[in-house]
Amino acid sequence: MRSAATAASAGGIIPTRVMDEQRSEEWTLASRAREGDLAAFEALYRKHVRRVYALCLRLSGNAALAEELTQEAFVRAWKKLAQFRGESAFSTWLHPLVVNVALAERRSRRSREAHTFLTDDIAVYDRAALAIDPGERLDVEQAVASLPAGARAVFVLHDVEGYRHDEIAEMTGVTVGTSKAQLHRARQLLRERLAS
Amino acid sequence: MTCEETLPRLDDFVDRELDEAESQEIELHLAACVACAQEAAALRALVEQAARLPRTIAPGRDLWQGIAEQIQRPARARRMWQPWTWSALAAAAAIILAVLWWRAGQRGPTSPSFGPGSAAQLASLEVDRDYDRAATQLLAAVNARRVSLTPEAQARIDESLRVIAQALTAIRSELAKEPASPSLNHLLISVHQRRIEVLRTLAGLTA
Repeated sequence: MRSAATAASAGGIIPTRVMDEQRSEEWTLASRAREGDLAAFEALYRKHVRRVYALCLRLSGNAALAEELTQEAFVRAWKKLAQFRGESAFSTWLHPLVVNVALAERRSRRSREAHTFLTDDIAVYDRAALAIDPGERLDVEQAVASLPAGARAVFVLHDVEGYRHDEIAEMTGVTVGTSKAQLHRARQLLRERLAS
Repeated sequence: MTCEETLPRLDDFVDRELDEAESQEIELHLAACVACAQEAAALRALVEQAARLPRTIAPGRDLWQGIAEQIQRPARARRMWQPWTWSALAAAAAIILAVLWWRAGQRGPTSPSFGPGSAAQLASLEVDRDYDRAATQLLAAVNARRVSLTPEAQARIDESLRVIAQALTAIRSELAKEPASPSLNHLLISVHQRRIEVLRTLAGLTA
């Protein structure tokens, strides 16, 4: 399966030399941002916002909330920039932080467990690249958004984002066994909902 | 391997998380069991669908402005409040004390006056209105910046401005009784100037 680092490089199809150049450029931007250069941080934001928003959207299942979470995640990233040491790609450092922000929000609003997929939320997916048939994609996105929050988080992180169970366990604070059980539950529910 | 032993391991099998020996056992069972093979195929199809979902989605609006405001908010709030907040309150308190001192002075020797209806008195009323108009405009600029302040900072601004407005009301009240008093007119102008100074700082028009 894909590792999270491979997933972070958009499918692992980017040549190593290009990745090194990107990493070097991001390290320069992050270093400038750490010294208070807001324009440098904006450049990092522009580069990563679509990935971050997609992650927030799928973890929350709500378009408006995903915008708030995206903003919160970047504000948190700005505050924690000193912890980014350039040993990995910026996205590898950023995405677990995004997951933490999204899951912390979920923990603070347990009442959203039974999520309603809104019309506005569906429209959001029209802005995504057409990687697969639009109808099929919408079906899957809707079905994912309708999952219970815990199962949805593990499914998104494992099957969409490519994280391993041990990485998910570390990010979400559950055991590897629980992560596997949640993934099994999510897949079962999705198959039922997509078949109906 | 039986169906009961195979089915709980299908997720790990599809995710290639089983060791080689276990994988081979599962494959042997799937080759012989149509139901389990269909189950594995359906699971694999779902995993492939998920992997094909777009990895990037653009938000419906540019979120950067909100992020930049949140990042800058604490620094700006500190810049705005540390230098002037307490000095503004202290100034307002000093103004009220001055008004009280002036009232007490009414019992003493009579101050020289402009005389009822004098040109100086009319000019003072005009200046009072001019300062009020300028303060209203500046207040609009201050209110436009409110969104970038914490609720606590906003409350402190309101309290400071309220104290200054209270001082102006007290001075005007005394002026209504003694319209020609030079010391009251000077005090009124002085408070106006202080209010303008505070509002200009809040509106970001001064360093």
